[in-house]
Amino acid sequence: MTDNLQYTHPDVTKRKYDEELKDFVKISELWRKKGVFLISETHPTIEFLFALPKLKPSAISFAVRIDFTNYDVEPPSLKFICPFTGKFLTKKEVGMKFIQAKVPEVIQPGLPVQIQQQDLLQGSENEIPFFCIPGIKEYHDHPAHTGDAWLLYRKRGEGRLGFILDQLYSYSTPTVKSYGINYVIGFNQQIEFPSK
Amino acid sequence: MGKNEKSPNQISLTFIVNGTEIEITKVNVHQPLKVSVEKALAESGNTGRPLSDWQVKLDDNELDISQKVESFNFPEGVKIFISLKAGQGGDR
Repeated sequence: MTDNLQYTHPDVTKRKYDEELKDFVKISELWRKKGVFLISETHPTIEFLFALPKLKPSAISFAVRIDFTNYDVEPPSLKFICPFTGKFLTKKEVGMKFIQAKVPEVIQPGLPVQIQQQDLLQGSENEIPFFCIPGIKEYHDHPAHTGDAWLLYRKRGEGRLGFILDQLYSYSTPTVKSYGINYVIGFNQQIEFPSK
Repeated sequence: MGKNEKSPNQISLTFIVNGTEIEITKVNVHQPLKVSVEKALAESGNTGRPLSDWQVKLDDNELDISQKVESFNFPEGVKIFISLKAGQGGDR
């Protein structure tokens, strides 16, 4: 299901969508080992769940809905969703960081190199965030990126399903090394103790 | 040796280029991995951008593609990811 308006020929978009999906299915076992699962597929959207397979017990990290409406006249749209309800999540609710290290293009000899860290998930804490890389509709639609049009990237690799999954995975799952769990045992029923 | 037979110095490597599977046959193990990576990019239609735009990874570890193929001791059936480096978020 999509809220985006389809203005390109739906057959063209569907064919390109099917090609992307076919490429994913062909190597889905590889993605599975990385903790990436396809959980729903209804043209023009596909939903994926990203798990953390190296953690014990394994955990769900996040889930996304990728919308291929008008692809590839437009890049796919990407939203973070609740894996249980499908509801769009705010940045605060996503809870995951996608840290990109930015190394300066010019390094001065003898001076320390300052590496900046930036979360690719952009937006206010209580708003629906966007994944801030070229090849994502929300990136190109953002007023700050009007000089970086999608058509500069189309057919160059960005925006492909494999590219998007790879970026989501690379900036999240491998960076999570451990987590802590506190078990709290609860009872739904009131226990009646025998009176003395 | 027939035209299609591989010599002992040749192996096949499977690459996942931006999510698409590509097999490169007759990879000379004495050549740098870079040669096979360039072939995989060309065969998958990913031309026109510098090699430095791509990352080559195995099990989430970036490979030094200037090294010879034999130095990696790739296991049978290995699948190597070639991924585009993401544009710098929020730069523009």
